[in-house]
Amino acid sequence: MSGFLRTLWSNLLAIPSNIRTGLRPLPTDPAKPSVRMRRAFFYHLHPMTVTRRALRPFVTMGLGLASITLFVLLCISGALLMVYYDPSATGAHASLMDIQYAVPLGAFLRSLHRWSAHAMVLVVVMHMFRVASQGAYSGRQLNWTIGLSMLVLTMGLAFTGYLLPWDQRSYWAVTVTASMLDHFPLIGESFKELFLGGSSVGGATLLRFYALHVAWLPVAVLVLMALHLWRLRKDGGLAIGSHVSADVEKVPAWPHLVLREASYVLVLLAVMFVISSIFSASLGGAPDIHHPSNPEKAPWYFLWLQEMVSYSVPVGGVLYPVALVLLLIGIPLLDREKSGVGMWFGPPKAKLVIMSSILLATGAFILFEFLYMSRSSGLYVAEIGTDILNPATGMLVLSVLVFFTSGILAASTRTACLSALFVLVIGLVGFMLVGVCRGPDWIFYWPWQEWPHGF
Amino acid sequence: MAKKKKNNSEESTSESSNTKPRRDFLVTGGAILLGVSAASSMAAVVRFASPDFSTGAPTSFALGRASDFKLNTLSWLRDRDIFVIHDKIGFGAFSAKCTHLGCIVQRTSDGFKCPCHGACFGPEGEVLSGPARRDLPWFHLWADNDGMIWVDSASEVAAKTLPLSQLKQQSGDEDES
Ligand code: HEM
Ligand code: FES
Repeated sequence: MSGFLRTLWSNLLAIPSNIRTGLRPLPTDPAKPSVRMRRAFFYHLHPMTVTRRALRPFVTMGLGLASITLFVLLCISGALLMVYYDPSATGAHASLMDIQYAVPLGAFLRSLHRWSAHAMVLVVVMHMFRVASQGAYSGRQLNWTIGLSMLVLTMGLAFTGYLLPWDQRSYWAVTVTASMLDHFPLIGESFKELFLGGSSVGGATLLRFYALHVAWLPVAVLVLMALHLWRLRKDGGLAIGSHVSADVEKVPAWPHLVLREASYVLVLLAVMFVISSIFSASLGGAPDIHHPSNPEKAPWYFLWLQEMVSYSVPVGGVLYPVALVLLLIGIPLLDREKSGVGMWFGPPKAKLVIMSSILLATGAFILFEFLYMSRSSGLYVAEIGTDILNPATGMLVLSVLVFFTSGILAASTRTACLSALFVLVIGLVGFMLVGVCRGPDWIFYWPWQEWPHGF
Repeated sequence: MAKKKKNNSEESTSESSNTKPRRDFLVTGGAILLGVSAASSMAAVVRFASPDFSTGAPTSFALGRASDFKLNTLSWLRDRDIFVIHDKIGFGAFSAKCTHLGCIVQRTSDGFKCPCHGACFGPEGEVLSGPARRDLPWFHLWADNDGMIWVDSASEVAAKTLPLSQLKQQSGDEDES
């Protein structure tokens, strides 16, 4: 009896020191097998050693890492929003009003989810252009294709998420974006009905988009992301050509790379948190499904398409996007060059050619838009002429011309592909900016010009 | 099935080289079977997601009695996104959904205007200007014996009004019979 009490007493007294020993840091000596086991998990993602070059910030700009970070952030904030969200046409908007105005920290989480989603689309696109500009797809066709699929899935996530607030803006933005599919020959209409669950946006669409947004698409991204990282290691880390002689000596990944990555992730998280506590994501009124606003625009990552469709359906809605997608899919097949991989835009001569193409494309874009707009003062009559003579056709033809001229000038398939790609992309960015400037009746207004009253 | 074949082919790797054609055949066959089953699973998913029932509003519905529509007026059935014309010849109905990107057009003094990107349509839905290319589609109408007018917004017809007597001879689809 007294022996039991004495032991109990001394155990109670020893609690603080026993907690301390229980939590004592694990051995850090790399010679110990337990330490190697623990680290093996990280070596899964990283090799033992990396080149000094891989530590330089402007080699990858950390864009892949930023995509992963934003994806994880989106999964966590999204899973929290699911606690209150009601994916029904009658309840969705009300549940968001609750989250925005009544739930503690609800507005912050919504904003975090919204801004991270926009940021992720931007970052994944930039990551793709980083890989393309360095020719880093060379010999990595599979990973390039996995990456492209993730880009499509990311845009799908952003778009399905856009509908969920179920306010006036999201309802009509999804309506006009989905209606662009109607113009795509043969499969467009049935594809649209499959996704909308009917011929127009309604409760069935909301439920479908919700299922895609919280289950199918994120799981697909997760699987592809795992494959992407596994391929990256199998392919021997960052793509690097034999021409690179600086900073090729190896350093241990831990701590050099891992600590840099950890601080990058923390800074990115901090930036997203600060932005989300300052700027709140907007929430409009419940949608009026018989009364759209003027103008109704697609989300920015589809706005270029809407702008081009307003010029011409066959060129802007079909030819141009198809050419872009084919070029992106085909780039590792069209360009099999091994040299110059890992160099921004390739050797100096190629750089010069690509930069000139970008300048030329910018000038041509402004000229095409000027001619087009002064010809029709913002509106145009349905006539054959604009189907053929419009800025989208101009940029498309220019990209073909630039493909051959720069290829011949630089004697390189990579330079040809990159120059043509950048011409198409200058077009995209330009069309998106013009789309942003569209006011009521799709008339062009400079950002400093006021829209007429009543809108 | 495909899995079993794959196992067979693995066993045969240890056999002599004259089993190679058989192995190639089994591997190719297995790959084809896998491809076919993947494709049919995809088709099944698409089929599952395209129900035979309509998840939205039904496409055929009663518009109202002929007497509900005053002569020489155009009525907007707001909940249906449809315009109904009654002129001296008879009745007609066309869509209020803009053929550009699907917004709902609004009436103006001389026709219709789409608020989204400014497409203008004439009084019978013909495109006048703006980004829309197709006229507003007219729908198939018919009348039952009580003079109730029905529309099928899934079937398009030529843009013209028809007298009530002619609407009575027209047939509807399944829900009329
Ligand atoms: C969810 C989106 C994505 C994530 C999370 C992701 C992640 C990553 C990461 C962490 C890397 C390591 C190097 C770096 O930081 O840049 C990487 C490399 C790579 N990514 Fe992605 N990526 C995504 C989308 C894409 C896209 C859209 C493409 C291109 C179409 C792409 C193609 C590649 C290729 C080919 C590599 C290896 C080449 C190299 O870095 O040298 N990825 N990715
Ligand atoms: S949807 Fe009517 S003009 Fe665009």
